[in-house]
Amino acid sequence: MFRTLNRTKFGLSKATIPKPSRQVQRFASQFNRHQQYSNPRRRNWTNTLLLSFAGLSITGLGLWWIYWPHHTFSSSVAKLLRKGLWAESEKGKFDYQTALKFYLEALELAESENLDNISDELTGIQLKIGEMYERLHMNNEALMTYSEIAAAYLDALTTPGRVASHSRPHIVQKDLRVVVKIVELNSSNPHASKMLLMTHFLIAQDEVSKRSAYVSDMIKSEKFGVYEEIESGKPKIANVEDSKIALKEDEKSHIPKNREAWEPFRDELFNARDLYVAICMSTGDLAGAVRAKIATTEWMLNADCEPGEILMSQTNLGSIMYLQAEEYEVKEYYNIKAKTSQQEIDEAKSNKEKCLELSSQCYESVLKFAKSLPSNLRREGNVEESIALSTYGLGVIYLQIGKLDEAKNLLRESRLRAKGSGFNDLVVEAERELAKLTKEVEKLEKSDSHDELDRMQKLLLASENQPAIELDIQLAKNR
Amino acid sequence: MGLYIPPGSSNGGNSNDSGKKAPIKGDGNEKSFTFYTRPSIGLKIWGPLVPAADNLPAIGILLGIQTVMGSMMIRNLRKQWRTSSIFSKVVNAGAGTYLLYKAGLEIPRFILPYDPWYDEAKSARDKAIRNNESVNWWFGPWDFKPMTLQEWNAKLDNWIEEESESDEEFSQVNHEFKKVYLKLKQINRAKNSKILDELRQTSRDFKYILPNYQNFINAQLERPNLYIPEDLEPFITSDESIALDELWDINDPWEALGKDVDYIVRIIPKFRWPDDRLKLEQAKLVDLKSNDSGKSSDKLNLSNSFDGVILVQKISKPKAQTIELDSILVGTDIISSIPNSSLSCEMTCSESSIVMIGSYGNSIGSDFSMASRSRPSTLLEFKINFGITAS
Repeated sequence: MFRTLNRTKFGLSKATIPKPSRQVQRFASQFNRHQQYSNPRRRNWTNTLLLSFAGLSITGLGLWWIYWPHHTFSSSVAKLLRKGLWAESEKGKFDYQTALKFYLEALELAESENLDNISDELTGIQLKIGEMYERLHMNNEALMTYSEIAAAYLDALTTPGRVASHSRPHIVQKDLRVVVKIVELNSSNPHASKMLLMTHFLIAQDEVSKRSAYVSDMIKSEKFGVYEEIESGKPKIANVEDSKIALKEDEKSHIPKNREAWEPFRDELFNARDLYVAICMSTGDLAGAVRAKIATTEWMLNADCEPGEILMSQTNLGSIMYLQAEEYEVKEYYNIKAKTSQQEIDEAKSNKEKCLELSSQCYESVLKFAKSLPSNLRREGNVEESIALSTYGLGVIYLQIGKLDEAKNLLRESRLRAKGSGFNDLVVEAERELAKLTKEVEKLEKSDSHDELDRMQKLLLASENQPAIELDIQLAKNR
Repeated sequence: MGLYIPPGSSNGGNSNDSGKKAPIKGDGNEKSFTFYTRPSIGLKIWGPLVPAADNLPAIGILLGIQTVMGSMMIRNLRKQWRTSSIFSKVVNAGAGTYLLYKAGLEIPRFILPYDPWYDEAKSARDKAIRNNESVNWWFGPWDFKPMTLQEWNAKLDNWIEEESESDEEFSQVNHEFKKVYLKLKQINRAKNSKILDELRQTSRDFKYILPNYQNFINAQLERPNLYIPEDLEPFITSDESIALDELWDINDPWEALGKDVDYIVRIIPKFRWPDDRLKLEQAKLVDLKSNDSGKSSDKLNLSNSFDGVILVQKISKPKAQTIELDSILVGTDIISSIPNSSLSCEMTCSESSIVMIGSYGNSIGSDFSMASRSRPSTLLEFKINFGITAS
């Protein structure tokens, strides 16, 4: 075998040099002869080396095939896609309408060629169609297109054996992205969005459970809570006594880290869960928001998220707790008005106090944790914003309990910090609260009563039934 | 790189397989760290040379060399059976078999659908790259302690258990999901082919069939246009000259979507000032009036950049809201969560069903009413005395 190989090699060199000189030919034949009579052991070694080289090349080729991104559009589909890309680019003068036409044709063709419905190729064309629909203001059509992708994924992920284990996490990642897109387009239907998110979470979280027994326990305890709620048809008011706040002061490390169990869809999952919390709140489901947020923060610690993200999550938990406290306050007044039993009034009151306490615990843990961070981490995204928002939140709590001087200082500090970190929405809010505070204090000074707390309480009690909660959810795209 | 001290010469506090450690001085940065031998089942003879578990090519190379060495020893044994000494026979046979056996043990790691070591090493590598730490191609990040074989085993056991559990769970709900998917596909096919027909008719401008053709192109959409890199740009002179693989990859639709749906959620609570409450009461009155003329908005704008106060409040007139469960994929959950008895038309809603639709109704109780009608089909109609006003 070796000899043959060598001759071929020689033949090749012959071909590249059209007219070899005699010297070269002589040398070559000498070389050949020398090779023929070299000792057999050496030949064995070379043989092996060649064999292993071949083996390695095959392995390498295989790995390249698996890991290198490449698309396998048929040439006719590819032709249509080129036309589509051309049309939507600057060269084609952003002609989305024409691009849509080509993409639709490409999809039709690809489907007739039986391209796998969860392949990156087919879903890629569908995403392009969705994007064109969005650009053409056809949100409903876009919504339907994205929904089809999500439904195909959901079907595939729940069909045992349909998706290879190693590609499941990647499908889940894409699934979560497209689900968030659906929620974004389906904004008039928050309840549907909630259920949709929930369904797709369960699939994603199941994937995490497989990779870590610890996480599996954490996730199951949340899942059963959700099931219980669906069965009983009503959510439990967040069980404030038992609620565990993941980020406790001084014990940030009691949750083991298990980053790889959450990859590669970690960011997508927490992004979607944050959105879920926001939707819960906008539909008034505070208990659901609290439960989801507590679990999310705990999981984020386990998933080894960036400190800024964890701090913002904890800050948001503090804010939700505050709102829950206000909800109990409303309940308390309602009970007083409806003349229910003293026990019910007291219960609402003590729940309110507990929520306020937990809320301030959250905010304070954020400040403490942030202080312990090394200075380079403190400059990272969301850390300064979390500090500013937590300071603000504490200020609002002090307003709630009537400590106006402390509130004033905290609000001022938060305004300063918000300005420093470019968190403009908070600057506006802090200024608004400060202006109101000044006005209130002026009023107090004019009035006869010198007891601030008493006066505040009277004002608070003045309106009996409060049907509204007030909050700002800043829901901005991360750019 | 630093100096590797073979396992055993350092203190033996760590007796597990991959936990052998030796102090190594980091290069460049002053920080010293402990180098742990990378984990493996069959490649242990390579000692500290074992590559990171996520470096499949490197593992493949070592595995290849090991296999070749093993088979060579066996071959030598056969060839030189008569001439070699007993000692050499034993060594060749023993070492050869050992090497092959070990290589055989390692191969399943390639085939297994789930390898905790791989995931762990990959995640550590990604993290180190993101944090600009030094990462070696062969070993991954230097300062990294892999899990032990016991942990690896436990993880694999858990995986197998959960896998079968979830398979079972999923197969129970799968037929519902499949139905929804097929329905959606059918609807979309019909819709798309209709739109395609319209687009092909060149006589008529497409925009006139659009519902919002006044603002034909959505300028608010914050998605970047197709990106053509500068070095590629001069070569693209017609659609046929587009290098599809390259351009498709640069503008990967899934990456673009990922960037598009990345959100920041920040919740800013507000204190309810006494005079705010007065205003709130007045606002409510105004709102109730506008509802009477049917102008109220029941839409909750959570799209691109919602930024405003959400007031959740009641309105006097019942509003009909139809949720097509087919299009929201999760109909069965909703249906099963509503006891049939509470779906009658005249019923005033109990607290539980208000909570079911997720309204802010706990404390308002009977002020909310709800009437629903359920058909055997998946279409469910809600009439909800409920509204959300975004201001």
